[in-house]
Amino acid sequence: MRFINFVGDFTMSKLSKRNFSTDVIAFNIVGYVLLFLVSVICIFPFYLVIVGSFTDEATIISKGFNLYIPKFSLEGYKLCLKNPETILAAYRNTIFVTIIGTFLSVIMATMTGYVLQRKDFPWRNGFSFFFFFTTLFNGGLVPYYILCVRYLGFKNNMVALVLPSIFSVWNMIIAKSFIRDIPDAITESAKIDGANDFLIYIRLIMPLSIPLIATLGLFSALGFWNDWYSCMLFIDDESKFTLQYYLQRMLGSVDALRKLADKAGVPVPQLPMESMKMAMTVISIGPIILVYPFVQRYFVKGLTIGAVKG
Amino acid sequence: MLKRSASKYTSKSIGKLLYENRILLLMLLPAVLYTIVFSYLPMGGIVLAFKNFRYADGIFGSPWVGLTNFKFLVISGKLWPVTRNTILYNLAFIIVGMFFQILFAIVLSEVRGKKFKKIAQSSMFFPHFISWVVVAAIVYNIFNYEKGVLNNILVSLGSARVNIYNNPDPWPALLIFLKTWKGLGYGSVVYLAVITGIDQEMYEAADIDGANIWQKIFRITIPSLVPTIMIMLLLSLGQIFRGDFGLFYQLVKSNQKLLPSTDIIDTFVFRALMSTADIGMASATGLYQSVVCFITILIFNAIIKKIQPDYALY
Amino acid sequence: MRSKRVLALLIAMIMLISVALTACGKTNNATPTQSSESNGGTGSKEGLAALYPEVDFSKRVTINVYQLGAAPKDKDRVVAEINKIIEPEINTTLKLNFIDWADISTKYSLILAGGEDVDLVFTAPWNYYYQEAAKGAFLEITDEFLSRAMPQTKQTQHPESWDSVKINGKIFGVPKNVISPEHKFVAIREDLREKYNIPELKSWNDYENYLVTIAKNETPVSGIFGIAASANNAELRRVWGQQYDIFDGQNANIGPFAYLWNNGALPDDDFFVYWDSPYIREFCKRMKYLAENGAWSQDALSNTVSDDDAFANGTGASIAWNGTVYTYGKLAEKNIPGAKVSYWDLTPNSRVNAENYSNAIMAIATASKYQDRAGVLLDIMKNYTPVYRLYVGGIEGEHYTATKDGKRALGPKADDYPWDNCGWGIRRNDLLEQADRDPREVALDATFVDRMVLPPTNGFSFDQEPVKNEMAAIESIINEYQAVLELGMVDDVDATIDEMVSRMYQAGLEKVKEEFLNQYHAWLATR
Repeated sequence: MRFINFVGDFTMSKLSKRNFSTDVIAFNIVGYVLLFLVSVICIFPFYLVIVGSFTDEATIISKGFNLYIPKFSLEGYKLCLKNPETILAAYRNTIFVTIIGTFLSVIMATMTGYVLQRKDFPWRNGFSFFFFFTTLFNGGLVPYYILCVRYLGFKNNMVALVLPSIFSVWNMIIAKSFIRDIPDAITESAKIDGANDFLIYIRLIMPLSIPLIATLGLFSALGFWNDWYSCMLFIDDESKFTLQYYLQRMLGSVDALRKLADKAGVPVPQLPMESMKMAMTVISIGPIILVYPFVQRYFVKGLTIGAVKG
Repeated sequence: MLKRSASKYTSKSIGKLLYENRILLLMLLPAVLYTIVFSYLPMGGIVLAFKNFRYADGIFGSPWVGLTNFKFLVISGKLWPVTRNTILYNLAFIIVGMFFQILFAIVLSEVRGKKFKKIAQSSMFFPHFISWVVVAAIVYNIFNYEKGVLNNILVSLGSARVNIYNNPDPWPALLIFLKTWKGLGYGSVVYLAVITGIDQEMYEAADIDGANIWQKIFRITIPSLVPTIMIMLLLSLGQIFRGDFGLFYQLVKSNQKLLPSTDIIDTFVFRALMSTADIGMASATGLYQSVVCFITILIFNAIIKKIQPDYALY
Repeated sequence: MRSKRVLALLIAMIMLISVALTACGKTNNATPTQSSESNGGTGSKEGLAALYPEVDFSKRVTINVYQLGAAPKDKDRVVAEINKIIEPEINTTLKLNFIDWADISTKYSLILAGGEDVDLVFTAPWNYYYQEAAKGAFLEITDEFLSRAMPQTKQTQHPESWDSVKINGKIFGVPKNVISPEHKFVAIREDLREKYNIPELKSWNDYENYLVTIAKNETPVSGIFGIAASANNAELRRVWGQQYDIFDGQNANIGPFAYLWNNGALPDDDFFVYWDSPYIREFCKRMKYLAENGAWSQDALSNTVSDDDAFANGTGASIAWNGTVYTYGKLAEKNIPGAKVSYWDLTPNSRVNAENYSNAIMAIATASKYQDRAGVLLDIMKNYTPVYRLYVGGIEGEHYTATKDGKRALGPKADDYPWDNCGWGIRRNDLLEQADRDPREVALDATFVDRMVLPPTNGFSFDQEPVKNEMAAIESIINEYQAVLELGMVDDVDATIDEMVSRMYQAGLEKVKEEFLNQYHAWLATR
């Protein structure tokens, strides 16, 4: 029914346009088919996850995933939301970290990217290599941990959740590539007008890079939202946990305990693991999937260069 | 036209250069500080690959043991097969992944129907959030021999059951499909953003010249994507010896039948070091991967620089 | 005469000195109580500090203890109660930290290496005891240290327990002080056994019979597998090994080697390679037979649901493990209508493994700034009942209640501080027994106690450091083949094992064997 509406809308919009040519129609048909297939392949597993999250554990184990809910149960959710205060605190912490982290991260990436694409900056190749080298070589977890805990005081410190992730070389390189497409004429004329580099960056380059900011913002937000590793390494205080770590830990500990329980002689707690995994996935996706449509409006053609001509 | 950067043969002194570029340098400072503290300082830990780490002596006081930490990689006889698997899989992931990401970015930018586009784009993101653990469970539900969805369908159609888990042949394709599926939404965003930044005038000019949509795509859209494609390619090549541990470990686990075609460096080393937690050997593996990645990127960046310096990473 | 005068002077001097010394000694003993009064607390009641005359208690110190697992909800309250006792006594504050199960593989090493405040830490052979000790993470517990900081433990700790934690003759942690039987047996669906008239399970063959009967009759109908094996069949392998009383790397720290029970006698050179032995080869052949007869899924290797969960939810008809099976048995009886569970020891005449003293060790970190104080605290935790009970069980009346017959029952807030949540490292013999244990469990356990033995090689541990590269390679080879062999998914068992063993030799098994025997003989010589 929906599809018919789309076809109808599409045809109407086409009929009212000047260019009503066969190649466009053909392209759109092919495009729609592809998009439809991909949507199905992507939504279907998630649908299974949602159904599974509301299904009783025994059914999942005996019958696996189903298309409908054979036996309704909120066990998985109850377990995840067992401590409402902790979960709320975790949500709060994660939102806080994500907002601040994304903001800082976008600035760092774009600012650095802008400098390194300036053709009149003498040491841009040297600095590019300086940054890029760090994606290749890594000293390992132990020295990093010692540095953060012993010398930077990251233990149980929320700073540890934000600071180590605010600069991503990957994001910076993407920013560099984008900004390079902005014509040099802009910077030149601004310099003639007497503006300094920083002002050019803030007042001119950034507004012209809306899609870039949207992209980097999205990537950073997702990164911070999903990060549980930093929390695991540095935070012991439950009130400072982030959402992902809190959920991961519940799951991972039963898993790990099961493997060790044999030797440890410790009783394994009985948790509805399978439905819990599903509930966890749903809980952790929820908020962020709402962010995406919000960001999508910036991926509109002509948003940037049009402004240049004006 | 901004002047090309002054080379060291310029008549300007270094002091003057620093002063002229002071604001740019200041803008660079936060990232430089960050990189020094969080990346270069801990990098000293690479020496652990050549040491026998003893807590009392710390990282720098521990005794040197030369290349012994690398021995286990070699004596198992599996170093080359897993390295080969890692490279081949990563190449496949890059090529197949990029192809579909670009394809869908173009499709999304050109088709009409805003609502449908939004739904499609959002749905492409869902896989990113499903962890490999859950994916493995779903895959098992589809493919398992006795109760899997696939086999149930086959049986009801009258054909024999297939055993995917005992047969290493379909796995490369399956793994490539899964990796592409998971990265589709995320990866296409970059290309979509680039496309939205393309100068609309070019398209209008093409319209006037009577170009059809395919010509517009192949003559304008794709060439505008080339710089980004090159950058993404180089970045991915720089990680070519590092595998997606989560994908391989969760999907394959310890299934020996599948190992010849699915074992990668990361899973192999994980199994070897699982009970020992030896820091030196783990460090040695990391160093091995880093060095070969470095050599790869040196070669490819140099090649790209000769062809089109703008596309190079440094 | 002159010499007499000198002698008298000498004697007088000696007497003066000795008087002076005793006076000083008295002042030393007085100091701890004086400083505790300065805390404004109730003051030392039990005089615990007096047990440690050589330890300086003048400074208030916080001891950080690291345990594994999830922090119980009432942790802070219980710790506060403990501190109420120990602060006035030994001027020490206990701080309890937890490393969650999921994080152990990453965080355990880091915490020891990262320069944080760590004083006491839980460890065990299965939790990197040997690896961390080799890196120098743990303080060597010398006789002198025990006398000074842990005199009570020195008295109360069983001698064999020290043997179990020796590394090259040195001790790097204090083991728990009790052993319990750790036998592997099976739980089956009694209702299914009755349905198909399967005789009682008194031996391995009986169990095979059960599996095959289920596979033939029940599986095609309801899909329930004889055993819903998942990922591996390691537990069945251990049950099998019990038939021959094999001691291997799992219950005696001897790497990839094994030996047979010989009435407690120490093996000479009759060690064999575990995976190359006729016993294990035969096991793998039995597994292939069972797999071919449909005892478990063809995709068991990749099964994402564990066999215990399957049993508890009705898709598996048996499981093999240790005492944990009772938990799953109860769940099965709850979840599945009409289900009854019975428990069978398939090797009723074998030795029973002891869950060794070394299975839970409390170690003192070398990085600890207050090693003596940490030792004293550990001594008190292990030996002073009020602190022991608090640490292990929480607050009496709330988290547990002691019943009249010396047992314990769940208290009203039992979930907030589960019994023995973090106390394994300090376990000892007077653990209150659970009051409402399943009678089947009690009956079966009673048959284990008399057969319990420690490995004859208790006291010897194979130091893998000199051959760690070879061992890493060998481990990864074993890991590769283990699951397929245990699940019977190979075409030719002997050929596969031959291949695995030959790869192990290529990786240096001969060298490992040499090193092992050298170490073993050196240890024998010291006895």
